[in-house]
Amino acid sequence: MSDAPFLVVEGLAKRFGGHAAVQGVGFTLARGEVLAVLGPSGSGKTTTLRLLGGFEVPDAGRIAVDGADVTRLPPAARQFGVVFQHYALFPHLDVGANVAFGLESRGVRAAMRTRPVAEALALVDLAGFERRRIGELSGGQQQRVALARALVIQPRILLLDEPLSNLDPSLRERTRRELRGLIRRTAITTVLVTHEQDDAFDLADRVAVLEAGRVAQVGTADDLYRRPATPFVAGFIGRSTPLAGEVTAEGTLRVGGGTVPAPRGAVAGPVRVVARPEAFRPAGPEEPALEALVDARRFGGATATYVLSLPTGETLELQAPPGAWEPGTRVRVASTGEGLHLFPPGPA
Amino acid sequence: MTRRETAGWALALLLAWLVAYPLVLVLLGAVRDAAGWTLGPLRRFGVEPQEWTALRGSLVISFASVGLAAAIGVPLAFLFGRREFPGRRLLAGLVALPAVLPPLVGVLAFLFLFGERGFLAHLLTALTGGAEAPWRLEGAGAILLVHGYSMYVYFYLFTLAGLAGLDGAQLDAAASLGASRGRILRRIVFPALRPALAGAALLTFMTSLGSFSAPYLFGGGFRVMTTQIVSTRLNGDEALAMVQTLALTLAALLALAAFRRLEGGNVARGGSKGAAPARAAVAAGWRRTALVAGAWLVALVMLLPPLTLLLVSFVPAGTWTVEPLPPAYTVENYTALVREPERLRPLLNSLWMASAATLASVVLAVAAGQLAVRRRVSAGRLIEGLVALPWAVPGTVFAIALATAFGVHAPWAGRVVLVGTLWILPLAYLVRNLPITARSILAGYRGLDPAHEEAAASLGASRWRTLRRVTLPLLRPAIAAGAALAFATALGDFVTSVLLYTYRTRPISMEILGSLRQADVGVAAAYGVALMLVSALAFRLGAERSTAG
Repeated sequence: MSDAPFLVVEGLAKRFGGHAAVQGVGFTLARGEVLAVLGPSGSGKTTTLRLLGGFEVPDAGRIAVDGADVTRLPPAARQFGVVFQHYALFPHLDVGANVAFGLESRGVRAAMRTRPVAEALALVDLAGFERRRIGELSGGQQQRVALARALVIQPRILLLDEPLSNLDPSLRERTRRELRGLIRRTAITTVLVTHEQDDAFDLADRVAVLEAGRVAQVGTADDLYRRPATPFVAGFIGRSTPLAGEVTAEGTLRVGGGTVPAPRGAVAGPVRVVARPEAFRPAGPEEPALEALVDARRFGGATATYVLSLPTGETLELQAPPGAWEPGTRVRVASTGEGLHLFPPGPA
Repeated sequence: MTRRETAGWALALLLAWLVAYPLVLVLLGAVRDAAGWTLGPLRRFGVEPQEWTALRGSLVISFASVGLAAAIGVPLAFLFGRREFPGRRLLAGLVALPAVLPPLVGVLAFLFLFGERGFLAHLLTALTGGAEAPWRLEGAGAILLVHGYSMYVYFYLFTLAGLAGLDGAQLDAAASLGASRGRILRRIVFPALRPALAGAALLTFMTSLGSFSAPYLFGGGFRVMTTQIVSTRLNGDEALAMVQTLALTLAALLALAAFRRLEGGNVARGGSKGAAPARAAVAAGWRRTALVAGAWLVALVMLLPPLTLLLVSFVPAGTWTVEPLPPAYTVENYTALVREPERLRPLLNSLWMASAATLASVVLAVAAGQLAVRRRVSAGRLIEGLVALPWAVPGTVFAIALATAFGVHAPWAGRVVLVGTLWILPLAYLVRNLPITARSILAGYRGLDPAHEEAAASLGASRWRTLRRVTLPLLRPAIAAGAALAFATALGDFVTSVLLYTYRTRPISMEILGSLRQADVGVAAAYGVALMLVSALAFRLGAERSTAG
């Protein structure tokens, strides 16, 4: 990896009619890095990908590759490989012609296309599939043809739109592993868009979380989980329960009808609390604790998830050993000292 | 303005010149003469009782045709769509056959079957020993008969499709709630069928209103607007012809608006659609025997006209006089079509003119799809309206409009003399073909995932290469279907040809008419059979596309 970022995206904005699909999306990628753009539907991730691919022109902002501005370059001139969500393979062409399409478009003579096509197909484990019809392939194979077609032009950037969303759950795990291997082997700078956290964390070096057309946070999985920048990120990544609280001048946190030690650096005043399932544990007899009623228990192997109702009327999810409590009993929980994230009060 | 916007407006302008401008000229022609603005022709139209008779005749025939076509088509659709019995599939297909008959060929077939000197008359006189047929195939009744025969197919096919789209679970639910069969039909089935029925009614009404062949050949003293316009025009009263044209156009547009309302009303659609209800099997017994016999009889009746046409096409000239069946058969009528240059000429004329018009209308429709659907230019709505417009306007109207627009040399006003040249008929066919190809190709564009074209672009393909290598191949079924139907329509065209043809460019339809006049019925029938076959082939292509998805 060189020091200067290879892909720079700054302040992208795009409106459709009155609706701002993205408003100020920015991130950078080093050469060979894999970034996942993660967000719920409607957060602007597809628009971001379409702006990157050149299928839409942004109203504002800039995209640069290797120092050169490509913001207004048409897709054909960008040399980006794109794998579409539904693959967009050409059904009237066979596998070989699909993969050769980019070479043909670049004026590569027919005789000179055979080898790169065969190599690209071998790369995705489909060697010898040239004469197959698209309709004969399984979903997983179609995806690999789409990858081969995108890779054969030796793209500067690879764009993947929801790469695993079209596959059976049984196939996802394996395909994800293969895709990860392929991206690593080719060492290609990749941006992928997904709404699945597992896919994002598994495939990407870093993840950009989109919220309502903006980048809420860019970071590694660990960053996003342990140091969420906004309540949205805290709520979107991993499980959590939102609570209302107040940090007192003495450095304690009043929450859920009780008091626990405030996390370090907390500023006195009302706060929004996001509690991870590991934020609380069964309390010892003398500890400062919250009183709660066990509403439900969901077994999950080594630990169970309990849903507790607090005196404030709020509910709290936490993890504890499966035999810790019976539903319907009154219990006391104490802070574990981690997994409590405080944010300034704001609109819910 | 971007290049694509410029292209969009250029296409809109071209289409406006082709489709809307001639109509505007007719409108102006109705209220202007050499001296300036005038109400003269309008007044003449207003005070002439004949005109009102013709307008009333057109409307009455059209409404009656809708009624008759529905009365035949809907019960047939229920019979073949909701009942299961031996031979159902075959018969259901046979009953749809009149759809492939071009209007003039349908009329011809009727003439040979039911005419005073037709097959039935022959049979009857041979059996009873009478001198001539006790009926005359003429007047409103005759027109209505032909219309009912050639248009019940709209109701039949639309209702069949509607029935196939029903949710069987809804019918079961209604039955479980205690509804009788009549109530289910009235409260569930017919409301669900309403869009299909309204669509068929609209199509039947518009086709009847623009129908020319049947009134022209069977009308006798019964006046309708289309024949009235042609005869006024042929009599040289251009201004009055324009007023009549205007009146017919208004009637067509009003009908279109009225039926659209009927069709449009909010049709409640369930969230999820269940499977179509199963056809009720009819248990063996006298009821099934009667049903099957009835179905066969209906199919036979529907097949009689084309079969008669086929029969007549093998009859040597002048040999079939008093016998119930032709005494001699020959293929002479067919060989004459290709051997005699005078007979071959119309065939070649129609072929090249229909091909050129179809090709041009496909090109325009693809351009319309590319600009209006794919690139969503601001002129898109206008473009889509313009390509659909000729559908709403009877063919006679367009013939008059084109004759008006292109009968004058005024290049600064976008008018050149094309009337009397080789180009006026292909142009007329092109205008009439536009809605047919555009309907199919625009729908094709809408069904095409833009990701295919984006994928091509991201792989470095230019616009042109993307169109040639990706878009057009993917659109091929839609293009083939639209082009086939357009070609068949142009090949069999009679209504615009009769006003615009010249001896040099005479098409098949005019030659059929000429052969009839010379009592050369065998040759006329042979032409008719040829048209029918081409048309059937075109429909097959269209059907293949719809099954191919």
